[in-house]
Amino acid sequence: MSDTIEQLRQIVGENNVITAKVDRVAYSRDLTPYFSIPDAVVYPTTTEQVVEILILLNEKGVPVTPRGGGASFQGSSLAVRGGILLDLSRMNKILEISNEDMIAIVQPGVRYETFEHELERRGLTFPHDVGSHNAATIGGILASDSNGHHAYKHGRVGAWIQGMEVVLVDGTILRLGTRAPRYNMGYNLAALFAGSEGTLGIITEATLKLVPRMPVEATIGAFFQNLDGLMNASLAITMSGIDAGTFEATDGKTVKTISDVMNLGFPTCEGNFVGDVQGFDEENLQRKLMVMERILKEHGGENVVIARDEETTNKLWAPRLEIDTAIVKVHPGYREFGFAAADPCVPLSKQAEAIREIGRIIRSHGIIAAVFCHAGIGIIHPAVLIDARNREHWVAMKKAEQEILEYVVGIGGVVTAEHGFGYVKNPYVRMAIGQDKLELDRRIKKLLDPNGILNPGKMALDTEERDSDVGFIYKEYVTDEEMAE
Amino acid sequence: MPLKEHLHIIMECVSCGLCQSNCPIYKQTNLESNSAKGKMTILFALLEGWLNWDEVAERMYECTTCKNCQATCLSGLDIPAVVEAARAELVKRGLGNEVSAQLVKNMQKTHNPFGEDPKARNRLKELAEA
Repeated sequence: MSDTIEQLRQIVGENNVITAKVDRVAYSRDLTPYFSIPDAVVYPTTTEQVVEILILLNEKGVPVTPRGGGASFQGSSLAVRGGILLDLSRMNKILEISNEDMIAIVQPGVRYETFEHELERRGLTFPHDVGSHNAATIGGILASDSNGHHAYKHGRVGAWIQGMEVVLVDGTILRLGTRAPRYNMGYNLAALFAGSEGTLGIITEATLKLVPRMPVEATIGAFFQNLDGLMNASLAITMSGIDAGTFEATDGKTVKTISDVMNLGFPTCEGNFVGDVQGFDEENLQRKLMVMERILKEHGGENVVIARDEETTNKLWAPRLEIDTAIVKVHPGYREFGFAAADPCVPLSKQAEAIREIGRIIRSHGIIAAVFCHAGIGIIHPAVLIDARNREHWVAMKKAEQEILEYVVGIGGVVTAEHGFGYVKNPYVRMAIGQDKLELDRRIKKLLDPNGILNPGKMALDTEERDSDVGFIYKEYVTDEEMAE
Repeated sequence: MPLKEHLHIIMECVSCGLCQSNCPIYKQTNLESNSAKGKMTILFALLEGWLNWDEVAERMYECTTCKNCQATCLSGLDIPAVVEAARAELVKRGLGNEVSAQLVKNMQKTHNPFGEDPKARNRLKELAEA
């Protein structure tokens, strides 16, 4: 390995290779319970360097794990087989923003909010505001084909990729798409690389579609005694034709915890609704708000509040965003971990039922649950909040995880719709996609990465196990093998 | 407060990385061990015995304690308090940083952290009055 590291230094320069243990340890974890130290961290600054790095590592058979912000919920950017962690954060230039072509060309290490600030000055937006905000890089967003807070209105990120530069493992620089807005030339490979979690190639540049920034916006919140009423209201707003930005639902028990701890005075409810809507002028916005308010009330919405100022907006979003703050005040040392059931998706007609049932499953095992839903797109985010020093909590989390995923698949849902498989979901991939697709995925992987060096151990492409080739942050963690005993 | 008493804060950090965007040190280096997220991982590893005190010292001093990380943290974790506790422990172990040691010497000798001759201040006063 020392020869390889020396050669990497020659490619990227002395200051762009890190080998000190203290620095490598800092790259050893994400939001999962795992701990895996890379042998070295390498920071390329150009596409040409990425080409040279991949040619070298492919020849030597050294694993290489790309990393953007390292904010993965499922271990996607952990170097589970050691080797080189390729940190793309120093490829962080916005190369061009074009109002005329409505595109931006960016390097993968550009942070989402940094990018948005630049676009805002030009009256534009890349409307893919991921929950990890400025922790997320464009490369990470694309490689995980993520959803943003406004995925209800704008869909997942794949549709916003107009072009992409990808370096393949043999050093080929693949250019997909152009400045022209439409592209229909053979297989849509950009869609293949989006969501591939760095297992097929390294994204070194992206040409992204932009839209005009709407000048006025409002947030609207309500409480419901019945989650069915909340979901029916959400559907009715959709059917009204109003192009709302987002609908979020939070289960009543979570709302109560946040309200009690933060002294917010929220009413008792089975679900909280918060949404936002944009307008091209004030009159346009007010018409939309008037209809949304009426629909919410007609379906049982109480305490309907429209927010235009920051303080009220923050209060309306508190049920959705403040659970972490609330929990550590009540239970010091507790935290949320990325687990396999963090982002399933259910049919729209099953959203209310799924929030109830998933909350019930987690709480039945004696641990704290918070359940959220991107209403209107069916994605449920259950959060388990545990004491990582309590072995029983890990057992409970794993039991709940399996029960949730079996339940979701049973009602016609899917295992993951936002975070991707990563490492945490390895044992559930076969159940999620079936034998035929798994085999095809593995053939695609073999075609593009025959030596299996690119982000190995992920997406069940070379193993259907987790826990077997990594360490754990907490010694109390219960492995799958121990669960099976 | 000893570092171990801040263990709950170290454990509450979920490693989301929101702290990185506002960190004046991380923005210069893009080195995760310079960010609050990285520091919490390092200190956890230290308390578990996976790292030694002398290995972590330099990274603990590379922090302005500006509290920007606390302001962006979803849980509002008081990261600067943890860093200061780690520094206190480092000093006890003879791993204080050279800059701080010089500041102390300056204060003892010249009654100001810059090591300047106190008479210079009087001259400035005289100039101002003139």
